[in-house]
Amino acid sequence: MILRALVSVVRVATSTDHKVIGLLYGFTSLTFLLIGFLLVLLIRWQHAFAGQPLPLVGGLLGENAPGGIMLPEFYNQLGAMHGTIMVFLGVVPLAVGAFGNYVLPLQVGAPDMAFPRLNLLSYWLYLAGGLVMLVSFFMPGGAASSGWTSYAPLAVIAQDGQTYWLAGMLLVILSSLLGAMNFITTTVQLRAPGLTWLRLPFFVWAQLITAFLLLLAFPALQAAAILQGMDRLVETSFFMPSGLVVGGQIVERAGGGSALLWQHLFWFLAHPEVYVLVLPALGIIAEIIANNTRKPLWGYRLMVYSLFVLGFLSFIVWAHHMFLTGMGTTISAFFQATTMIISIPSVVILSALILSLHGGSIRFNTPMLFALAFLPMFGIGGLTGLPLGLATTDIPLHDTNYVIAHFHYLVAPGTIFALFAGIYYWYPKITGRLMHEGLGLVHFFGSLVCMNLIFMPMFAQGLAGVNRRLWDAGAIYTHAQETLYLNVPMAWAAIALAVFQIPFIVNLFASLRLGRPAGDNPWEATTLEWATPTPPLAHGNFARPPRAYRPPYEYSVPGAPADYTPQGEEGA
Amino acid sequence: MTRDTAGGVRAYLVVFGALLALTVATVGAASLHMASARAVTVGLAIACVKASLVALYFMHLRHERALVPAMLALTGVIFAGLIALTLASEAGHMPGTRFAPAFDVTEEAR
Amino acid sequence: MEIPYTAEIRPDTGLTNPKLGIWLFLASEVMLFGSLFASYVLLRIGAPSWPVQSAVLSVPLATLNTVILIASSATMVLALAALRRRSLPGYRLYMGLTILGGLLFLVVKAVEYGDKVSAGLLPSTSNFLGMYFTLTGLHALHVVAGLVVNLFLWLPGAAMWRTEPARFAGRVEVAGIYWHFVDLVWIFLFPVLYLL
Repeated sequence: MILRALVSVVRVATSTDHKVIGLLYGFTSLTFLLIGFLLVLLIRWQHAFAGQPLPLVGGLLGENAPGGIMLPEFYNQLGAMHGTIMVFLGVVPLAVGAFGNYVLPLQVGAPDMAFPRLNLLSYWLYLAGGLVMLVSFFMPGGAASSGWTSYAPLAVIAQDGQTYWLAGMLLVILSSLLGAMNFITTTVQLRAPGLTWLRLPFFVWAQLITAFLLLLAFPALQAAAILQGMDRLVETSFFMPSGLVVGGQIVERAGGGSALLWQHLFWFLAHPEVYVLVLPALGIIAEIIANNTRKPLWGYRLMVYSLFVLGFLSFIVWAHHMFLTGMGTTISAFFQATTMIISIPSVVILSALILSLHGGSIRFNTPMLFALAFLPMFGIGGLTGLPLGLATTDIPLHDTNYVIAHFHYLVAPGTIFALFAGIYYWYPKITGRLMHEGLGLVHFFGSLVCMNLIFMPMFAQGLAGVNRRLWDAGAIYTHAQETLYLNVPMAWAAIALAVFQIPFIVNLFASLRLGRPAGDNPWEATTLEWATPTPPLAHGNFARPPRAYRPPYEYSVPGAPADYTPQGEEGA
Repeated sequence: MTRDTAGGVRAYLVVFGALLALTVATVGAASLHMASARAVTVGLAIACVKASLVALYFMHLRHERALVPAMLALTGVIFAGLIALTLASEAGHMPGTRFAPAFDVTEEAR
Repeated sequence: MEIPYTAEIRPDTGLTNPKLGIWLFLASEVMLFGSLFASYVLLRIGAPSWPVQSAVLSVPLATLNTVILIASSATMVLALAALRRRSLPGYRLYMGLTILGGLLFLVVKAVEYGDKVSAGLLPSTSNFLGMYFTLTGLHALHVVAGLVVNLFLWLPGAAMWRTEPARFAGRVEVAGIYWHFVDLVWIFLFPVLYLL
């Protein structure tokens, strides 16, 4: 019995089938999302009730929280690792590793990814990187504590956890690079006959551009991590300026390094990374909106071209994260200009999605509700970013809770809602059963309300000037006093948000057995993944080689026998 | 697949010879102790020619269709953006905001 | 289940999967070495003084290494040409020479490193030496990776020649493209670190 379980675990863990690997990515990244979320619950408690013992878990934290009261050092670890885990081990692997792996080959009509074994290697590198990060919590000195941005020289002189962070990051980067290669090759080479470029579903386009961003941006952080590793391990001075004084002592180094070099390399990755977080989400939302409005996307071509512009521009906006470093006005003006310009394609895509709703006969199922909520949430996140893209307004807002609120609106009720939508939408294709609508509604409305209760007050705090990284949430500052009380409802909202994830988790597992049988195409969708048997065949996905005859979203075509005409159905 | 005939092999040997000659040239140029700007230009120019020879002939880039060269060109543009904008940001620092005292030294020397 | 275009060329793109894959990988490698190169330039421009590189490092040894690596690149492409002429012995000869070149390169590199370390010139000594060790070390790792692949294709991997010759030739071509890239990186490292 145990042996048989072991054999099946090994079989799953060594399968080169893109669907199995996609599911492995899915479960691993959902686990990381949960871990990252639990870390931030501790932070929210700390902000609301600084200096009070943590209930329930306080005793489990050992020397990190004597008497259940969190130490500032541990708080720093929580902040750094929440960001790292959410971005690099949670959202991106779920959006790209899981959805990309499972859905993209199906949507292009491929039997598998172009390099199945490399695909498996990507997963294992990702898992290894994630485990290295987690293990660092249990090492002497704890996990990395220099923020998810790991700015030098702070990170260079930090505890050993930072070395684990660098090692884990190098593994995750390698995994992403191999994955990006694989996605691009699959899309370019394995498209089914008839599936011309402008017949690709928008999701595929989004994944393709995302893969290019990963491929060309991640190496900068790879280089930066190598350099910081050298600084930490063999005492080079790449990021260590001359005459650095730490704790009253001059640091004994050759010096002459540039702390800002780290920031440039880091943000050269991390700004495109923002679009890596966002584009797959837009892809998922586009699929779901087209399907549930029963009409083609409004401005499909415009959306695709916007993706190109967005992808390219994302490489030349990075220094808007660095307005406070005192760069000259000319170069600052350049980055402000590119930052304003990049909002245009983002707005084009979002507007196209909203216009797609117009005149549709909308079906309000759970995936569509998440998709509909995504639009205004993403809009709030995007529009509040504009003041951060202009140096004058960025200077007072920099590193305040306003920034936190801004990008969390993009990523939490934005991207993560899109990922939930995707899970509800493709679950029947994966399992053959639909998820429960009632539980889905509870999950949706609960999450929507809680997310806003958590993040909206942060704008107020940020505008009041409250710094984002404070252990006591700013209690020692006069200017923070008026908004301090907001931390209490935010903490309760965060706990409620956790509670509202329970129906989702129950739904995810219970629907495997109890869900309504879905058939092959429960949403009456057009794209090729719904032309497979359910679940898609283990070897080769499709019962017969697919072929595309038309654009991806042929819904409600006048004169057609049904209100949807699948891409793979023969005919003119 | 039939490109690698005897003529192909001869082309490889010619390229190999050219690479060796350019190696000698770059070492020779360095021994002239030119002014640093000119030395950098010459050194990098020779390296670019050598790299192009390797890419076009040994890596068969000249036989590739548009896709691969276009992708490499994009990579080149993005790399150029990285180096140019990083240097421009650092060179344009407002006085007193530089981390490395080295920057101030060179500024005052000018 | 067969994945299409692993060995045969897709007509509309003119590529096989491995060939597109390796070029994509190399694009990321360009960005990796490019980022390190940009770091080097920034640190050097920002430094109040920078050592005369050719006085610290050994130009003769590096020139020798340049010649070795270029030669091994040439033999690599000749190995592929031999395969295309359907000559396995020719392939074995040239691939063997390629591997030999890679090994020689590493030996010379090790001698260079040994000289520096025994003279007390460590990565921590200055940012120039730090960059030198980082860039050449990372490059040497790439040489090692290429050697592993080439050794595999030289001995056990060559069995594929009898069963799937086109696919094997494709593998050698892809390994070659990678190997030439390693050469290409060195072509830049040599003047940048030793001469200029």
